[in-house]
Amino acid sequence: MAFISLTMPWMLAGLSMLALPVAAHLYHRRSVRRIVFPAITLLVDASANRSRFLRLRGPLLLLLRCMAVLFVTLAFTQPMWHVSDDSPETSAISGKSGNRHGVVILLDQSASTRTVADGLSLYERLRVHADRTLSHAATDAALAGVVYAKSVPESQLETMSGHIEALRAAVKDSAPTYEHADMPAALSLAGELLAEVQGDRHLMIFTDLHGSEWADTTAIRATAEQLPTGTRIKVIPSTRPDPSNASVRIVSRTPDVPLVGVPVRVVVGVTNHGDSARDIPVTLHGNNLTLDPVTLRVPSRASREAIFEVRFQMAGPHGLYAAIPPDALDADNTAYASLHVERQPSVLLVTDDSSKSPGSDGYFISRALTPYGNSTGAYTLNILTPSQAASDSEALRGTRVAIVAGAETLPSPLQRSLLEHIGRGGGVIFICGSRTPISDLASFDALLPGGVLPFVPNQPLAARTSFITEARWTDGPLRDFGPAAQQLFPSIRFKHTWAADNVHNNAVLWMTYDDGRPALAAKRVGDSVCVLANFGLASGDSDLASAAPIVALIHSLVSFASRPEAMQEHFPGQPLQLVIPSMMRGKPGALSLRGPSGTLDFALLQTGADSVTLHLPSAPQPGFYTATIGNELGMINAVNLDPRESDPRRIDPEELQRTLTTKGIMVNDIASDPDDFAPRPEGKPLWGWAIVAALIAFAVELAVLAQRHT
Amino acid sequence: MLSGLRFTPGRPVLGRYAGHHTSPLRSRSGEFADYRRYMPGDDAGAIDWKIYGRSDRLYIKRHEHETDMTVRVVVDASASMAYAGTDETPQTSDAISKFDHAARLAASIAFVVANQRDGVGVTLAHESLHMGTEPTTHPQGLLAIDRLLTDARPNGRAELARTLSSLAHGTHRRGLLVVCSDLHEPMPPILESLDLFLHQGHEAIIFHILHRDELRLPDIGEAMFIDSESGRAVRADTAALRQAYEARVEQWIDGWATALRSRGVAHHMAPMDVPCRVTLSNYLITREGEHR
Repeated sequence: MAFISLTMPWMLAGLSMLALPVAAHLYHRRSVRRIVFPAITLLVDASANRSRFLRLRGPLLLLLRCMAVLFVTLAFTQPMWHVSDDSPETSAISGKSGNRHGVVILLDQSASTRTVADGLSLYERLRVHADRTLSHAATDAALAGVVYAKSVPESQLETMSGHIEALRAAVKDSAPTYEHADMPAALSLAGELLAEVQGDRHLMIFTDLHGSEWADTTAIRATAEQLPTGTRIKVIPSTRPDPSNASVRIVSRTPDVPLVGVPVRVVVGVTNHGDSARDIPVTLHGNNLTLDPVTLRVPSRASREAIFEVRFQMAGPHGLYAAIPPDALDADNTAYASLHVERQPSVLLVTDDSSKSPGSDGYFISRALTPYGNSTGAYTLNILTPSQAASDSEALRGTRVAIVAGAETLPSPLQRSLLEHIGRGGGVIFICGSRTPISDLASFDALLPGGVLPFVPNQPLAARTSFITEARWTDGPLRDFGPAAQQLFPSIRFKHTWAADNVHNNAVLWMTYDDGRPALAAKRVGDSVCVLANFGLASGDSDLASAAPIVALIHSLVSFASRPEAMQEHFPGQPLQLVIPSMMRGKPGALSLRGPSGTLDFALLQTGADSVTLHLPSAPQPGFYTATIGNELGMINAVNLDPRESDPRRIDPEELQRTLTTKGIMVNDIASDPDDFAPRPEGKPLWGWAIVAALIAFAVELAVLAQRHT
Repeated sequence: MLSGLRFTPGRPVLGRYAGHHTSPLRSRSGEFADYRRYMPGDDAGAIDWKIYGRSDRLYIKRHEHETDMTVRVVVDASASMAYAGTDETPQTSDAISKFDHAARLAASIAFVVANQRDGVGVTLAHESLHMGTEPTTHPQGLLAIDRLLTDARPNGRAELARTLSSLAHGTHRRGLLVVCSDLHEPMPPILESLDLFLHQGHEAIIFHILHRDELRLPDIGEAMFIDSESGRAVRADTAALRQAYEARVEQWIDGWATALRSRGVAHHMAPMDVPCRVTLSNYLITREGEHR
């Protein structure tokens, strides 16, 4: 069945213009001069001799002019010629679409759509246009689907549906997230829905064209190519210039394990994403803490840092947040950080050395960490032999860092205990001097797929003196070493080192020997850090004790290895785990999890004898998430806005169009007018032919006007 | 300027008085013309006895009879004769109507005829009611003609045929009939009425008067043309119609000329852009040359 539809039927109002040629015709007839003439009979005779064509000239001109107006009006209505296939299997509402055309709304819910411009968020605008598209689909009796683009995209319904009103209600109630959207996954989900449609397929993408979401053009193009053939894509952007957005983040805090009463240096970074420099005041807040604001003069599209110093008087979990004045995107105006303040972190030293035996690894480590005994030092140090540690399954419980140095063996039970300790987030340091259980280290490394150690020492190189020629002094455990220490290290002789395999890809190499072998490296294993030093502290292994600030080195390594899991960045939309430490064991009260908006449901991921892990499938928004037992605060985790959402740069619409346009996929256009949202049904456009017909009528009119003679 | 002109009849005329024109009547006065055999009933006094003495046959003498000429001028005073052009047609300094031109022509003829001491009368053809002057040689007749033509207001229908017929019935002496008209009337009745004159031995001359606009449609584009006598209207575009119209006008004029000349009636165009004196002069010169 063939039929013609009018894309813009209201343009038929232009038919009222037909009155113009008719009125002109009538007026012309009336306004003709009247002349008294004697030779009427001759005039009549002459008129009778004219061709019928010329006698009909007047009415013919009127007809041609009316036709021209008619065709021009018709062209403005954008008529479409459809030839539809009335298949017997036309759809039921449940989802088999038959030949009904379908439209999928892909609605960008990323955090950047929360940007407010002219009193309205970008998401509000997108939502309104999406609703209009759905109402148009309802008019067309089309099938529709809605896909929300966020960190884990989801569709409103599992299949395409004719229940447009329900979809409209859902869209109306939807809200933007704080998440970074996974656009390729969202496109893929939209493609799955469109595959159900047998008729014309339309994908309407409502987005703020945020660059970070659309930057991965390779993945987006690959996903677009998987869309059903013939899909017509239309991108409806909602963008507004946002000159005033600034974002804040807590860059670092040192030491990594804050101690009670010890100053903690907090570095707060402010980024100005706007077009002009700004003075941005930044404040730091915490538990009962509000520090004086620091005003930063931040140039356009640049960052500056402010340094705050805080002291915590109580041990336990604490939260800090830095804030700048609100602007168009509020979500990045506050940055959160959580930290666990300790009185004396516990360190276990596994060694066969006697701490009282001068010149041994154990001696130097115990003197560095507890020079005056456990009661006054920065750490609580326990010293066990490998066999003692192996026989005591609780030996590593509550330990922040385990150091293995000067050990003859690494028994299997101890290996398992170390692995559990790593699983709990505890750090491990291996000091590989002349007394190092190499084979046990190799078997320990093999306990985890991908290994535990940053590299595996294999052959001793006792006969060769090595020198450290390269080091990373700017971060990690060596960041606090000044120029004097940096100049000192290359002269230190290392008399007993080990040959080693290459450093693992996900490990960090801090120091390197003159022959390229690793000297000091670290590897993150889950929430833990494993440090391996390819040298010994004992006098027979190196000159460290006599020539270098060995105490500072030991403290730096212990501090680095004891980095709490809370420093790991968490973003909205991602799973979140809160590990409540063993000291909370036995506390009375119910276990609860609270987020910025109130109590949250959680899952118990694992329960150990000394720890409880709460699992939140998705953290909904930035802020503090606290786990409590009764009224006792057990743990604080901080979730911050993905920093990619703060950068307001948009993708070039033409580049996006090129990315989306693949064989079989057509991008109608990037709507320059966001109100131009309606999907155009499939069909052959006729407005060009209407214009041609109007031009023909006009040309014939000109020819008739030029025709004066029979 | 008209003084030197003479209107000579093309055929013998029957006047009342002695004049300069040949009379169809032959009598015993006057110059000897010729003999013919005596027929029973002829005047015995006309028998030429000398010829009888010589030939024993009876013949009578015929003599030339010279008399005056009566000229009757009929001027079409219908509404169509009132046409003086449109606002857009170029006007002469004194935009005159066809009637004005006809009146001047008639007056000119009257002057010439009166000047040669012949009788002239002017009749206005105006529907069925015609006004006119009786033919006279009296000088006062010219004044009457002048008054008649000056006071006339052309309107309505001419009924030219009826006027001519009426005149024909009232005329007993042969003379000259001059008609000044645009001839925008059906041809057959006019020809029939002319035949009445011709059968009586009159001579007829038609001065066909047409405005320039009737010969070539004015450049006024599309207009509603309304007949001045019947009120009939026709919408026409002059530019589109001009060629066909001019052909039709030419055909129409030729038709009149052919029909009139076939009856021995002189048909002469009297263009309005040519002074009447010139028109008349040219005609009379041509006419005199034809009659010699």
